Amino acid sequence: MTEFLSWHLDTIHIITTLVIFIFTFVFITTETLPNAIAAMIGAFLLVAFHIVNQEEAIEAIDFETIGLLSGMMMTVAVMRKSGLFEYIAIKSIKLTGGSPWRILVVLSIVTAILSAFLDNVTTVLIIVPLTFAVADTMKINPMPILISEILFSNIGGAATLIGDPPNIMIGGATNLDFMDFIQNNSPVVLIVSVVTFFLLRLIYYKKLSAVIADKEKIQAFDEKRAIQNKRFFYTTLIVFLVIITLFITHQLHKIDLATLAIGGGFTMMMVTKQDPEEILKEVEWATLFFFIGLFIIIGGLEKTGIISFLADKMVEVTHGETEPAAQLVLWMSALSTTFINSIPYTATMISVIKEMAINPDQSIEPIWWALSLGACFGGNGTLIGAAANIIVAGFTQKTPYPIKFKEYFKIGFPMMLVSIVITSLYLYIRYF
Amino acid sequence: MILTVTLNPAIDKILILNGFEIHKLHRLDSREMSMTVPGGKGVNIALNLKVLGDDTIATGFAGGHEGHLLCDSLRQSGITTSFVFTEGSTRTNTSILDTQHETLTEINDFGQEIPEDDLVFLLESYERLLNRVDMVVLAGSLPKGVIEDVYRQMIIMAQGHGIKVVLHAAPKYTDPLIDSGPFLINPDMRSYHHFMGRPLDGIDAFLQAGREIIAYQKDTEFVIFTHRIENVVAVTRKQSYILRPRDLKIVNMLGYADAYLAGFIHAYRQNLPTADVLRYASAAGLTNIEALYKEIRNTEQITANLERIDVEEVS
Amino acid sequence: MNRVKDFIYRDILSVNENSDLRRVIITMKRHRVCAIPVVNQLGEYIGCISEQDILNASVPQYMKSMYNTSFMADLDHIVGHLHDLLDEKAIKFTDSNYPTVTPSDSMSYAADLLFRSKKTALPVLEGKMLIGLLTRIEILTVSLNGNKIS
Repeated sequence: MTEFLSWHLDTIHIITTLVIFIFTFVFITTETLPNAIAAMIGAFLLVAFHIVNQEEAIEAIDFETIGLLSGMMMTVAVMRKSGLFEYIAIKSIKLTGGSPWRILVVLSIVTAILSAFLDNVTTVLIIVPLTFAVADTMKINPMPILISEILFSNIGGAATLIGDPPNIMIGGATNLDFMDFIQNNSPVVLIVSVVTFFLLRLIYYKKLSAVIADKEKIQAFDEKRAIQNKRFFYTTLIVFLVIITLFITHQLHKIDLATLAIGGGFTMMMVTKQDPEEILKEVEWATLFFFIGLFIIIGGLEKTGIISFLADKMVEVTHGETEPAAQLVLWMSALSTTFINSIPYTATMISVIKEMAINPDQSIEPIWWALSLGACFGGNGTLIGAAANIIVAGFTQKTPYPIKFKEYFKIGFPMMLVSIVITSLYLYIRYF
Repeated sequence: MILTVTLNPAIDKILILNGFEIHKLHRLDSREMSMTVPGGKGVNIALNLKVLGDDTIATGFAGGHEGHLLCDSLRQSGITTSFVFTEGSTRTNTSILDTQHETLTEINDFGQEIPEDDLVFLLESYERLLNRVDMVVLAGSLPKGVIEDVYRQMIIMAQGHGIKVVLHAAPKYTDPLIDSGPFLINPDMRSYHHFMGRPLDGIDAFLQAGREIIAYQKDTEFVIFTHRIENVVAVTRKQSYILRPRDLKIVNMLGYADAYLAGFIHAYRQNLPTADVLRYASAAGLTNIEALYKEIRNTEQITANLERIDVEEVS
Repeated sequence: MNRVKDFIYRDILSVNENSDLRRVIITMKRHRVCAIPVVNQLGEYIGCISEQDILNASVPQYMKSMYNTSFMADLDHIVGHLHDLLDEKAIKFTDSNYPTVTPSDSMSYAADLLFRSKKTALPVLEGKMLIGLLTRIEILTVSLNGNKIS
């Protein structure tokens, strides 16, 4: 500690920054304050105490991330009106013929796929009400399906750059593009999915097969009526596919993702003749300001040297080798994000990893995958592990089937550990 | 505030004809008239009280289109309504008043049948209303499905709130209620001259019966026999009164007792001496029967009629 | 000035907080009203139940959070849920923040209150006592050359 202090004359700045950082973190984790308020007040205090000046604060904001997030929010806000997501979900449910286990599998797969392309919260906000509608129709307990959906929203989100906030942030902070994420993350996502289904089958299959369900009633759902305007439906679908294609083909045109997302969002509004006032209201401004606040706070941590201190410690532990560093980051991320919000955690870790003096002969890339997979899968550990989990839990509280912390923990935590073990092996086999 | 309870109210269809015959088509001419008005004893008392200027809440059972007609009409008169609506319809009672032959023909309908849950709901509502009134009038017959004991329950609930109960119903209903001690008993003996299980008629018999009740029940303050209009007998704890109107010119007997009781309640609430209360009540009754309508329309006439009532005090 | 006291619809039938929902719905239907006041045992006003409140309780949470529910048009969930609620107590559906007026308020104030809250009737209170209702039509008819309704 004395060594650390001797590098920096302004001890007070370090202490102030740490205090602000810790308080912000505690307030976010304990939900004492809404995320956006905690982060923005923390950021304000850092600037007000002249730890960073306003210019440095603005520089610290990763506008790549903010742009990508807001662009996707606009795109999704328009798409939600098309009924596409409901159409896909209902169509798949009807294909199951009403078997509860098959419904669990199908809805989980839909959740995983939607999570890969939308943010997880939006995905569960679409899928969970539908799940309740199906369960209500069949008179079955939706709990196993809901728990599975939580798991797969976090698993599926890991597959792409835009699937989960940690990935968006990593994408924004590095040169890794959309295809890099698919190539490196989706194999492990597939393996983890298969294993998770296998385990869920062991836990739930008997229970789900035992219930006498009103299977026939499922056919009463009419997916065609989910689409109220066919033209609108096809237009949004085409624009969305174009956006995704441009994401994938980044190497060809070199247009960055934030540009594509924002351009795509406004194009979507233009071709569907939406009122921008109305669509922009659906953009989650609180989430965006939460990110902005966090970026500024992390900027403060960087400037005062706290980040380099942490980076040095990491290097010390891992001897600057990629392999132990990747494993350390993976497990640390998984266990941390089980209990704390993955967004501030990832924001901090991105800075730390960038500062780490890794052996120049070795690629730093596996560490990014470790962070991404750890932070995404770690969210499955508890009911508060990820924003989507909290949303689902909150939603169920007002229904006859509230998900309890303990109940979820018994399934989610072991599942998370299994997924991290698999990821650990995957990293080892693939990169070392 | 006064609460009137009419468990079996009616829409009164009143036809005033100049020469009524059966087997004949009547077309009303300009000297004749037809009225469709709220009816039932409690409702009539409420209407009269409103004319006299007393605020009244009317409760009871109502139903269907006729029920709404009843309540709308009461509210238009300024009465607050709190009727419990049932699945059936409020009955219609038809009265044909023949001015040429001076006859009154009445056809009273059955009325609705009341399911038990509606009765329970009414009693709940009644108990709450007791918190905002100082006098309760229970009047008229009981509809089908309502247990005979309901008036007793209502009297006991009112007494629990320290509220005076005026009871006006046929002997069939009043007989069993004597021992519950209502403040005022006015048996409706127009068509049945038995009371307290015995044939009862004449001033002495009325005085005797009244005294028996007063002696038996300490809560009862008044027993009044109004149906012999030329000799109204009122028995009180201190003494008894016989009231006789002079120069009686009966036009329409409809609603006489209701007007009488409304007059009584109005005067009693002014804290007048007992003799004056009874005189006012008789004057109100007199005013009513000397006009065509079944409720009082002209309150000044009551004051004018006061001196036409002779009051004889009997110790 | 037109005051509420001259236009009150003087019906004070209310349901008890312990009445069941079945009774509330029956009462609304038979009395032809869209909202019914709820009182406690002492007859003190505690709130109002409107048709909207009952619908709100019977539409499942999940349906409320959907953009549109037309793909469920062949299902009969809401009626089923409402049926399950029939034995619940009135207090559970009571809106205790339902807007109210006093007899001395102006009709214009009452009109604005009704308009803002999108309700169909306002309870008229004197202290905690319900003395009647003020319905939309009473307000609309004020303007008919000062015709008084009651």
